[in-house]
Amino acid sequence: MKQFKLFFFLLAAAGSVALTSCTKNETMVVSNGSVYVLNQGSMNYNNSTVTSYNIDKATSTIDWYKAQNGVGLGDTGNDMAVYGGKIYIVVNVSSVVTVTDLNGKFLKTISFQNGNTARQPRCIAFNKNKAYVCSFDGSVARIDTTSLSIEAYATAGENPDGICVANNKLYVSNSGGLNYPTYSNTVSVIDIASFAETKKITVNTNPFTIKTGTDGNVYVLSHGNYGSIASELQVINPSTDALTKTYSNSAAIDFDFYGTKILFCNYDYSTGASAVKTMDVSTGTITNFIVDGTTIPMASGIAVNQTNGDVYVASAATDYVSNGTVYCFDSTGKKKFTFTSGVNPWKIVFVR
Amino acid sequence: MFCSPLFAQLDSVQRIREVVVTATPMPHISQTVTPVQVFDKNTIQQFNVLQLSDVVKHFTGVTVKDYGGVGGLKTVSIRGLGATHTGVSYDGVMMGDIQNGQVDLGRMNLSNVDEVALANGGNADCLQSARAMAAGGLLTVQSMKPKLDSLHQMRANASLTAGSFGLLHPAIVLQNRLSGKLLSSVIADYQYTNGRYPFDFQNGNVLEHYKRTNSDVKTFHGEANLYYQPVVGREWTFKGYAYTSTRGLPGAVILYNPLATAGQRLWENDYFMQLQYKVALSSTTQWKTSLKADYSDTRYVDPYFLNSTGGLDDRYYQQEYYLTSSLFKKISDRMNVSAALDAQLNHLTSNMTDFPAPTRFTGYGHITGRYTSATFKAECSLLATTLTEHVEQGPAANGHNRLSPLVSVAWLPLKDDRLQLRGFYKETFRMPTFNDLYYRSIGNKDLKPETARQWNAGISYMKKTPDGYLALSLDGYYNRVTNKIIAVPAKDLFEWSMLNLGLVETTGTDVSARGGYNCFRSLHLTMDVSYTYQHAVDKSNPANSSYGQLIAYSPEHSGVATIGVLTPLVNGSVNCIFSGYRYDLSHSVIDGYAETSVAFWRSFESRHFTTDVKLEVLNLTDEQYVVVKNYPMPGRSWRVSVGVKF
Repeated sequence: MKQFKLFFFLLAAAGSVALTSCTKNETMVVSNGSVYVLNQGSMNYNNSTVTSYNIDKATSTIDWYKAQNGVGLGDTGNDMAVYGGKIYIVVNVSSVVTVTDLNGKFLKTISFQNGNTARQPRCIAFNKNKAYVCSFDGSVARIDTTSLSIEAYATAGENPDGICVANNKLYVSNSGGLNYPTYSNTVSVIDIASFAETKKITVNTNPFTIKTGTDGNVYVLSHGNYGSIASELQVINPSTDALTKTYSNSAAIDFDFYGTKILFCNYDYSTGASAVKTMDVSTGTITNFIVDGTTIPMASGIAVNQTNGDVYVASAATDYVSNGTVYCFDSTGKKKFTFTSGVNPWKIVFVR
Repeated sequence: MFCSPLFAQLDSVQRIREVVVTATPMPHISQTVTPVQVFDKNTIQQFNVLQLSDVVKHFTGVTVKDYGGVGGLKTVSIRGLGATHTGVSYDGVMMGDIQNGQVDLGRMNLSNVDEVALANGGNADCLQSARAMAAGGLLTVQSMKPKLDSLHQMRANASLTAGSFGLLHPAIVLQNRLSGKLLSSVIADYQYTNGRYPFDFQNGNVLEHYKRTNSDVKTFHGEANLYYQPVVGREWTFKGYAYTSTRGLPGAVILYNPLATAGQRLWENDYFMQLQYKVALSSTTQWKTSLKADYSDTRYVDPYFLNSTGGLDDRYYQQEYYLTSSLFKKISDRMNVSAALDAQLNHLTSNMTDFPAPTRFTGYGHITGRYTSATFKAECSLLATTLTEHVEQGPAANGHNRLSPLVSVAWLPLKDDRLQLRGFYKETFRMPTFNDLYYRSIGNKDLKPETARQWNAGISYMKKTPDGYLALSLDGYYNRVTNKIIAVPAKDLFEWSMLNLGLVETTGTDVSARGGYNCFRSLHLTMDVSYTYQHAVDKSNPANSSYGQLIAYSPEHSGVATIGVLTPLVNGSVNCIFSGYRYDLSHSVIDGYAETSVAFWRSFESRHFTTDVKLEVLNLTDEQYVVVKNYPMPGRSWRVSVGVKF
């Protein structure tokens, strides 16, 4: 969820790794690094993958995790983030968080089980050498990033589907997605120090992706009920924990920040059309991002490479079962390149 | 024959055939205008079968989808049409599942089965119901009628089968003459297996070894039949049927999550009564009518589903009332006509809130004309279907009225059934099931029926000698399924909906050779070999990567072979089932497989009773394979049965 903010952290914390990778390639002074794409795969097919794309060499490995480890990642990867020189991959149906080094080499699998129940982890966020993972069973786990083991659990709402850190608090979006059609409409606030929920903030129905913006505010995307209630992007002020703004016409599947802008993508199932748009955070003015006429088959994820403003848009194949495609645009909305990902690309992170 | 003779005569024909059977089993494959494959109980004895799906795997042109183990769902698709186009008839009355449109063949037990047949086009039965005509392909199961004579006023057959993975299967069949004209049979059987079979799972470069869990199944099946024949040419039959089962649903094998298989369970109950009356009204006219009332329920539990009520406990209750009446009239030696009228009422309720509780009325009527000469046979049939639907909540699906034609012709150049050239065209449709229309967010009440058009051309040849027979058949076919109902993501990747988006074209060839030969006085050999080439291709949307590719779980090449050796000392058979590569739903290749099983059996006769002993080794080579992705099939296992009858 917070891979882009984490990217900065990574630059500071794990710069030595980036240097190491530069020295491997003697001819290059500065590497542009790699793009890692987490692909969900198809549920119950054990075909979730991580695709790596080397920006300098323009080469990709579709099933990079298997190439590095000889075994599969598991079933339905849902989130991936880099922190402290490690990659954390949240694999929902396998009910594990798999941790690798920056070369994708396996370090540890953390199982999410509660007696006979698989907790089904969904998303991960980090704060001060702790990882926080929300799971569909309503729990938030605290993981020590050195020992890579679960220290404690807190309780959020129903079927959390997003987590982020702001103002020493965790914000967990409670989708209630498994109670269809009675979705939830709250964001749980968990105090990091006491590791207990302090309140629930009411938001639009079915909150999903939640991220901390460059301005320190919490941005939460609600999917609505896919009918009478529309999908909307909203802002929570982490000082007051009040819902301060709702952007109109902000129906989205995923969003990311770049400076004072939000880039978001959407796919309209009724028209079969994808959209990629730019929104000014303060005015809410929305413009089309893509200027060269490139069409995206089925937008499923978006991420901005903060070093140069390149925008990566992931697209599933229109049949949902074939390999997807990742489109890279420069910051002005012109296509630079594309590469093939695994099935149903979902999350994009950058590693230098 | 093209159309069965009056049943008064039929009985004598069957009796004659039965005498022949013990020496040289006679196949039926070349006797009909449209391809009909038949296995009688003697042939079935040579297969390694526990349930009906095991028999069906031996038919040509079928794809059995098997989720593994005794309890795993088993459905049959004929010639790439999809499982919902397969009709199943049990003792002359259609079985159905209005909720999901496909009968689980794992439900049907073989304790008392006399004959299993698969018809691709029409059916040899002149008094066939109109509903049976409405199926794209028809699987008929005929149970054994009591065979009692003056010396045997009562017969009993008790058997016990035991095998690997805790398999236990006692069964008892009792036949009784209640009075001079009233016969009865009672069947009871119980089946249990813990289903904990080991399997290999290839995870990348690592071959992992697991054991299937939550795969147990327990079923009970009981039946009572009454046969009343007041005079020759007039027959009443009554059947009371009960089936109850409980099983674990192990689900797909999920990497790194041993809990994924836990928790989900399914309970099923099915009770029905059917009454049938057949009468020869004159030497040229027969009439048959049947009445059936069926109640079934399903309970699905997933205690670990992460919703606010702490799990899923879904219950569904189905009712079906069905009436069919059919008439056969012989006009001349060469001409005859059949007509049938059926009425069917289905109702589904559930414990779920806001459940629409749909009711469907379906009316069917068909008329068929036949012409038969020494060298030429033709059959023309028209089926009319009318359907209306009501719901207690929300909007109902539209009603439909359809006409479905069937034309088949055959040429017999040798003026008998030795050589036959045949062809048929058949059009059928299947209505969306209640799940297709109403299931939670997935259902779509605006669905249109799915239409199947079949073209077939074939040749069959049979040679009989006093020592044996050889029957060969070759059929080529082209099928087209339009408005195919498929699930697609509609709101997000997790919320799917049913749409009429699919188009499937299938070209295929079925080849079969069956034979039997008496080598010496006491050594009899049988052979049953078939091969299917089936190219079932997705033609739905040129923009999709699957366009022009094989549809999921449909192998291009498949086949079965059974060789039997019957001797006075012991009988033995070898069965091999082969399937080529297939694609799964994500267009990944699933490897082909070949499963070989062997059986040895013999009967020990004593003065008062006969003891049957059978030993089977299944999957002799311990082939590790899946039919459905991530649903492993059992490896090598054994079964032994002992039966006593008098």
